[in-house]
Order: sequence, then C-alpha cells, then structure tokens
Amino acid sequence: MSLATDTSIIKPASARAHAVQVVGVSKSYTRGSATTRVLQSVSLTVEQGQGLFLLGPSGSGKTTLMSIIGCLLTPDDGRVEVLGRDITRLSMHERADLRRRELGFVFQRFHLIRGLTAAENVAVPLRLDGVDEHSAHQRAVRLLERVGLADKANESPRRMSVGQCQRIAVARALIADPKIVLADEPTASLDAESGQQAMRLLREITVEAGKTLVVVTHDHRIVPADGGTDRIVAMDSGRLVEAAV
Amino acid sequence: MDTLAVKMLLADRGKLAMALVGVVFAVVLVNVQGGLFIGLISKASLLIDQGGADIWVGHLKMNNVDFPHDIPRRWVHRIRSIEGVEQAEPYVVGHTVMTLPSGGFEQVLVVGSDSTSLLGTAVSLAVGEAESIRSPDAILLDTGDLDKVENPQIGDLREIGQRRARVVGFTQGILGFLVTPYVFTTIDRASAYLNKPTDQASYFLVRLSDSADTAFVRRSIEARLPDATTMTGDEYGRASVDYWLRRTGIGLSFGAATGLGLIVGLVVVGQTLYASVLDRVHEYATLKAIGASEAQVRAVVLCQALMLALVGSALGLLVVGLVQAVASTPRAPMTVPWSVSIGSCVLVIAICLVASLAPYLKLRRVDPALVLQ
Repeated sequence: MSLATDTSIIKPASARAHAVQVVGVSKSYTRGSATTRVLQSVSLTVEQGQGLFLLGPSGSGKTTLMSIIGCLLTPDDGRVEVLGRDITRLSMHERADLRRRELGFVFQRFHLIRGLTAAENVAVPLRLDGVDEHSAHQRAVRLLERVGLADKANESPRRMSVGQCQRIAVARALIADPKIVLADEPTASLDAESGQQAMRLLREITVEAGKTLVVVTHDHRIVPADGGTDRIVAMDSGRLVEAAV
Repeated sequence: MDTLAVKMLLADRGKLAMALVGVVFAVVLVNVQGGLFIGLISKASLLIDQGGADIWVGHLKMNNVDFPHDIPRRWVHRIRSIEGVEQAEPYVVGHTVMTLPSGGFEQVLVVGSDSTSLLGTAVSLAVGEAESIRSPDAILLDTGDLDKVENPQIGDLREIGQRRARVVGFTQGILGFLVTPYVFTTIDRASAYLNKPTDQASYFLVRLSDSADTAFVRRSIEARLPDATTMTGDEYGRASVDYWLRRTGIGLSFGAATGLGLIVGLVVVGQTLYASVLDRVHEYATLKAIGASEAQVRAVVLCQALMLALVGSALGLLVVGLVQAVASTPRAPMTVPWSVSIGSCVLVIAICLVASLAPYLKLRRVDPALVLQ
C-alpha cells in the first residue's frame, strides 16, 4: 500500500508552533459525596506536527486529559490552549466549531454510525461542515483509498473486520483536514499485529501531512521505540510522572 | 443532515416499522372516524340537499328537516306573489307507521311533494321514475331500506297510516340520519298517510328566478309571514346537522375516538424515536464529539420525525382509500373530503414533531465526552 501523501486530501501544517499547551490543569469528578481528583496540576506542551503518546494505567487521568485537549471537557483549574485559543473561554458552540474544523478523533470503539457505508461514515465531518454530499463522498473515497479500503467504500462497516473499521475511523478523523488528531486507545480493539499496523498507518499519515497527533494508550507496544520528535509521557494518579523525548 | 437522519432511521428496520404502524394507525383512525362522522352527519341534511329548493320556509322555530311543525298551506300564495320567486310549493314531512305483510310494522318518514311540480321529491332513482308517484297509492322506497319493510318488489302493496300504498320505484342512497326509511309520495297522499289536515304543510319550498335577490326575497317572506322563518338550503342543512350534534353528543363520541387515535400515534412515534435515541446514544455522542452543533443534532431528530410522519401519512391515506372502497355503504357512508385527509396529515406531522421533543431533550443531555469513556 502506498503511503505517499495525497496533498489534495491532507494538507501539511506549515509552521512549527504550539499545537497544545496545558498549564496547571486540574479536574475532579464528584459522585454523591465523593470527589475524585483525576488531574492534578498537569502541564505539558505539544508542538505542531509532533506526536504525543500518553501512557498510563486505567484511572491515571490520561483520557480525561485528552477529553480536555479535545474540548470535550473543561478543566476545573488551569489554562488549556489549542492552536493558540484558550478553550476554557470558548462557548459550547465555539468548542464544537473547533472540534469540527481543527480536531480529528479516533475512538477506542470507533463509534461508526450504523446505516452508513464506509464512505458515508468517513464523510460525516465534512457533511457537518456543510460540504455537499457529492464532494464529501468523493473526498471520502479518496481517503479510503489512502487507508487501503478503496474497494470497501460503499460497504457497510458492519460487515467489515475490526481492523478495517479502525481504518475507516482513521479516515474519518482526517477527512476534514484537522490540525490535531486525537486517538483514544486506538489499538485496544485490535490484536497485536493489527494494532501495530493501524498505529503505523495513523502515524505515517499524520507525519506525512504534518499533523499533530495525541495518542492515549496503555499499550506500550504501539509506542515507537525510536520516537524521533515524538513525546512519550506517562501518567499516574492524575499527574505526569515521567516524560521522555 | 437529512441523508444522515434518514439512513440512521433506515438502519433499524424494526423500530422504523413500529413507528410507521403508529403513524398509519393515527392517520387511518382520524380519516375513517372523520369520514364516518361526515358521512353520517351529512345524512341529517340529505332531504334538503336533494330537495333542490333555494329557500325553505317553515315554522318560526324550525330546527330539523325531519321534525317539522305544521303551518297553514294557504300561506304559499303570499310567497308566490313576491318578486323573484319562480316557484313555491307546499311540502309535507312526517312520521307514521308502515304495516308489513308479516303483521309487523316499521316507523317511516313520509315525504310529500306537490304532485304537479314534484319539487322536493327524490330524483336519484335506481328503479322507476319520479313521475310515477302521481299514480294511485304510489310510493317510492330506498333500496337501502327494503330489508326493513320486508323486501317489497315493484307493484307490491304496503299499508301506511291504515291506507294502501303501492311501491312504484326505488330511490338510491337516500337514507336518513335516523334509521327510519323515507317514503316519497305526493303531498295529498302524504297528508292522508300522516292523518294530517290537507290545509296544513310542513314547509314551503321556494325556487328563485336567476335574477332574484335571495336576501330580499327572504325578508319579504318573513315580513308577510311573521310566524314563519326562512333559511337557504345550506343554512337549513347546517341547522339540521347542528341539531343532532348538540342533542346527541355524536361529535364528542367521534372526536374522542379520533383523539384517542392521535394520542396512540403520538405515544408510539415518541416512544420509538426515544428508544432509537437511547439505542444510539454513543452515535449521537460521536456526532457531537466530532463537532455537530445542537442545531444539527436537533435537525437529525426532527428530520426523522418528519420522515416518519410523511411516509406514515402516505401509507395511511392509502389504507384509508382501501377501507373506503371496501367498507363505505349508503347506510354507513364514509365521506373523506380532501380537507380531512390533508388536515389529518398536517395534524400527524405536528404530532410527530411534538413526539420528537422527548428524544431531543434526551439528546441535549448526551455528553460528547461519553465517546472517550
């Protein structure tokens, strides 16, 4: 499969700057009378085009941190800038706009929409952004070709393997040409080999296009041994406990 | 969002079918109940509708064509001399008993028309001619009522008000609001059947010339006959319908059944959409997570509700057409005007949109962060 960058589909980011800046972020959840602090004064920075791998056991706060970076949650304290915008000051509507235009998500369980074909699933972010059905479909098909599913464009994901569904999810995350791709346990549903393939594909496409990639995982095997410019950060009990470049 | 909404709905055929059944049920119930109601209540003015008179003149308190109060027949001359009146004839309507060959009896409503003009007599005949009532003892019966009077043939005799009556023809579809059969004959014979003095009439039927001013003629009649009142055919038809509506509560009865159908439709559609949303919480959360606005999520649910309403209404009207073709009879006519069909569809669309409110409120609370948990 050729992994050459199709610049008409995914445009490379131009300059290297902060993609994400997290400063002193804390977050607690209250359930009944019990309050759990899931993030405690976390600070980190991700440069544009950089890959960040957030490692840690369940309950370490990595998914909460990703949810905050992904504008899905707001922190209790601290400041979070995504592409230079302080997301704690954005309205719900503005955060939805930011997610639609600048962020791409790959979910652990893919969350593809039943009833839609592979191409239609991939095209959803474009349709949400007002792109007409025909253009959105064409772009989706081209991106599916890019992830090796050209012949599956008009098939239902329900009849596909988990690995194929993951690739559809990756294509959906990239279709709207986001500057940042957020992947939550992207290999958790895959076997070791498929997981590594999927991760390799995701990283290659994002590197080629200069996208920032933030990956939350507990699977050390998918973390690149030689990360290059990628950052690998470990979390435990709501704190960053280890960081390596 | 429309394509997305439709495809999401189509993805779950079972729920879609259930919701459509609910909508079809509501549309069919509204139209069938409405059609039966209109068909039934329109029979209250049947005598007026087929009478062909422009103005009905009757007792000051006349309120139902089937229950007149006598007025002097001689008043007709005062009407005939009014400018614009082309024709004015006395008309007799009254209840009596027909004795049957088996010894049984049947209450009948005798209608007597002027024997020369035949104004107000039945014009829609299945067998025979209207003019044949001029022959001795002649009466017309309706084909829909023949079983009640022991299925007479042409030429058969019956006894009405202890006088002989010979069947000379059959009308078609002239069945009154009451179960009482109409018997059409001449005015003098009707008076005899009803044991009514021949100087009395129930109404005067008035036909106007083309250039006549209806309001002027009515004012003139009422001025000359202070103990009488006038109504146009339409007015008296509505008055007769109102009589039954007010006194029987029939409208409430049909309305309650129709309302029940709408409520059932509302509940089924609402429940189905709600269940669909619950079933797809993660998909809606995904849409929100990847940037769908509240308006877009709302549009998905509204679009689905609208689609259910439109498809369900179309299927429902199809079923109504079939039911009408199979079940509508002269005795229980199902008259479904376009206004009722269109009105029911508009109502059902509104109901479906209202039904989408509960699932939408649920969706508003769906946290997009759910997809990362």
